[in-house]
Amino acid sequence: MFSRATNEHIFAAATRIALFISVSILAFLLGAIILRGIQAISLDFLFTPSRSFGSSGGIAYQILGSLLIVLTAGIIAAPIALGASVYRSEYMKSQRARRVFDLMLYGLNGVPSIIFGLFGLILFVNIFGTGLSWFVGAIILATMMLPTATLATVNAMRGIDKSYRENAFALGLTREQTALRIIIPQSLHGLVTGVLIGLARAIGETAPIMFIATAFSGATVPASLHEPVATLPTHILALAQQAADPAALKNAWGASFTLIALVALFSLAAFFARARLTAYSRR
Amino acid sequence: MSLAAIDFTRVAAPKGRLMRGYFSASAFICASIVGLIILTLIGQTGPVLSGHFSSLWGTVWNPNTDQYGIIPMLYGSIIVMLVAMAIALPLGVLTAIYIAETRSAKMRGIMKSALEVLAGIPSIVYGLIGVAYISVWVAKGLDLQTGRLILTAGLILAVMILPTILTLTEDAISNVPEIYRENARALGLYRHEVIKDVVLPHAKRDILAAALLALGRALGETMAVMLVIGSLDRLPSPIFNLLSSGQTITSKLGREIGESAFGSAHFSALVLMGLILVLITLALTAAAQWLIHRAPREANHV
Amino acid sequence: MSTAQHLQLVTDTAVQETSVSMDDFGVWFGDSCIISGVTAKLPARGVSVLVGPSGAGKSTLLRAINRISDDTAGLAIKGSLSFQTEDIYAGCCDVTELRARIGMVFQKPCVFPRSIAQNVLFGLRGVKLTQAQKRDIVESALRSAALWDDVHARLGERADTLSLGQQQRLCIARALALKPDMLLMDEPTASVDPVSARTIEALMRDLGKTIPVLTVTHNLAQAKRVADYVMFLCDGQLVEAGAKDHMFSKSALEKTQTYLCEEFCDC
Repeated sequence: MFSRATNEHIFAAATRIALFISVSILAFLLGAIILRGIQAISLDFLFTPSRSFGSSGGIAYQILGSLLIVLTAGIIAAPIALGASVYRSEYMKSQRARRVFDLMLYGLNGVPSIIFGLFGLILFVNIFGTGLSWFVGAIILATMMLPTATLATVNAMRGIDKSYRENAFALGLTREQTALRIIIPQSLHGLVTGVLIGLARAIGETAPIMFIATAFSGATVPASLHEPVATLPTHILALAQQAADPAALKNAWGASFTLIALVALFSLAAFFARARLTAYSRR
Repeated sequence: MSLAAIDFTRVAAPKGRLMRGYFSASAFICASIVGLIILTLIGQTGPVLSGHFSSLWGTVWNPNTDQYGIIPMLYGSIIVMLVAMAIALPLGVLTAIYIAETRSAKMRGIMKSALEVLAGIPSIVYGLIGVAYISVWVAKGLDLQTGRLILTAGLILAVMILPTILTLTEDAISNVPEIYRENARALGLYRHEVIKDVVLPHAKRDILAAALLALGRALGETMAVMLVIGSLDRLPSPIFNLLSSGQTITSKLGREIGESAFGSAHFSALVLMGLILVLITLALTAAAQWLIHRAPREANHV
Repeated sequence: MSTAQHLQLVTDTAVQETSVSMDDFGVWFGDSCIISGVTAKLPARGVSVLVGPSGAGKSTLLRAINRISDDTAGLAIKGSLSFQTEDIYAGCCDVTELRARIGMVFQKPCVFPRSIAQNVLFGLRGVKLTQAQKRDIVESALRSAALWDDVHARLGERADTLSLGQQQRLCIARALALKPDMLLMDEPTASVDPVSARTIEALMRDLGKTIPVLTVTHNLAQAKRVADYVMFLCDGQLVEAGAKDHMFSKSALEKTQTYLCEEFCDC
């Protein structure tokens, strides 16, 4: 069609244009979130409760609720992820079993978030009769975090030199003792990193918790496990649906900015945990 | 102190069995949740499957008249996904080629961290951006009453899956050994010929896996789509009209789960759609994993 | 600057035309100098061999001749290098076309995961060819690479099923299919078995009768077997260049003597 040299120019131009568009999208997203967020945010906004369905007041209880629900999820997920990865790397010997186990985790990771909400609604809220409960929300978010946390820990365990295990066995340690003394301490950085990355994702999730753990307004500090809380993502959802009201929209941007700041906080913590703890476990 | 005084006899540790139990129980939990989710969903599909099976494959959704046609939602999910992929795949692959072939470590580093930031933005925030900007732009640009359309949902989804495609494709392209490029260049091939005939064929399996993962994300995405698609339970007319409002499985679930009574045919029809969605995404995940972990190519050089 | 740097290769009366001529040529990587002040002319026929200890800059010099080194970030060129009569580092030179004119064979054979015939035709771009012409090109290229007898019955099979030695000859055929004006070889026998290595050496001698062949080698015995001309590079500088007999037995320079006879170099 065209000469080879012309095609070369067309191709070069196409990749440049693609890069330009991608960078523009990136800049627009970050710019919109930061600019609109900074205009909406203030100390007052962060530390006062919301009023009139969120269009005035702040987001104090939403921050609290989000943190409560995800930190609890992290506490639930961490021991399970740890135990499962020990089993995966120290007890499963057949390559086939490992493949199946990994596939199950990847499958779980790929399940759409709304399905977790549906699952929690059917199993906990209705069949177990818990009603709206922040704790059920935490359990559901914990199951969503499991693949990330487990795979990160398994990866860390894979990095442990075989000679450690051989030496431990040669000293007469049992498999359990080896896991406890050698494997777990040396792979803790994987667990911490994985859980923190899981937290960063979980705190932004809306769909899994919106039917089972949250109330759109009026929720404060829960007095028991069976009460709903307010969270940042569901708050943004409620405000986005009143986007015609400028005050609501402004608060939605403020809440979004705060949410992303929390995501960034967990991600940064994961980053530093990886750097620090990896160095520590290598010592 | 004499060693003779120490009793070296080992006591069998009951703690060992406890630990072992804990490890295997955790592994069992991890591996069985997917199955538990599927079983839980299947358990709730009874009412609609037994009572209203024939209406499922229709195009009308109206719980008041007991009509639960899921075709509009299935169609909506697929068309929105196709729009998103049609935009994000070429954009992502071309950008990845630029970044990978420029071979500038600095640029790669910057782009990678930027993409990680993007991937960390919660989907509800994308929804807010869709509501506040993209749907407004679409409505103004095309002079329409509302900007909450299939096209808008496709656009916002394209933006959301772009980081996934871009990151994975860039990795795939960077992993093609330099020796292949060098040999092709030494034969007098232009850069675009090297990429088209050497690099992309080499990386195609990983790029395909990236596309499948992105597909799965696009199908499962709820919040952003729900806010901008307009929630209309009808097939667009004409059928490829992207400027019509629509409904996807996920947006339908997000809108109506809270309004339907547990155990009703209405609820059961929603669960059935959820089940279909899970099965599709699981199939996509399995296919992507199979592509990535398939036996490595036969070694064709030392 | 040592006097040796300005020695010219044209000492032999048979060499009248030149293929490559370098004038005060140098290659820098960032702040560090890899090659400097190389001034030499390569003959228009015959096999020239670049020898020298590892790290001397042999490959770098070779890779500069078809500008394949352009894609290494941070490399900078000083001086001039002409191929035939064209200054290839001048602005107007089309790099892609230059590479098609100068064939190159690398140390590791690298065939593309396609059929043998497709590999041979891989570099032929922008030329309209009939099936019959393609067949002829494949056959003649494979024949010139001494591979035709091995593979003529299975041209459609994937090239990566060949042995390494055959793969390397396929790489040579691939380059020859373009009818190159020169052939560069970067230690072409280093990763193949000894028998294939001998075949490739014989091939070099054959090819040298029609086009200039420039090859890099560590192996002095091989240099002695295949060379018409020898260039001795050490520490980024051209120590001496000349006809093979001169270099191996009559060189006046102690450095050349020590290296070529005792394979020892302290530079």
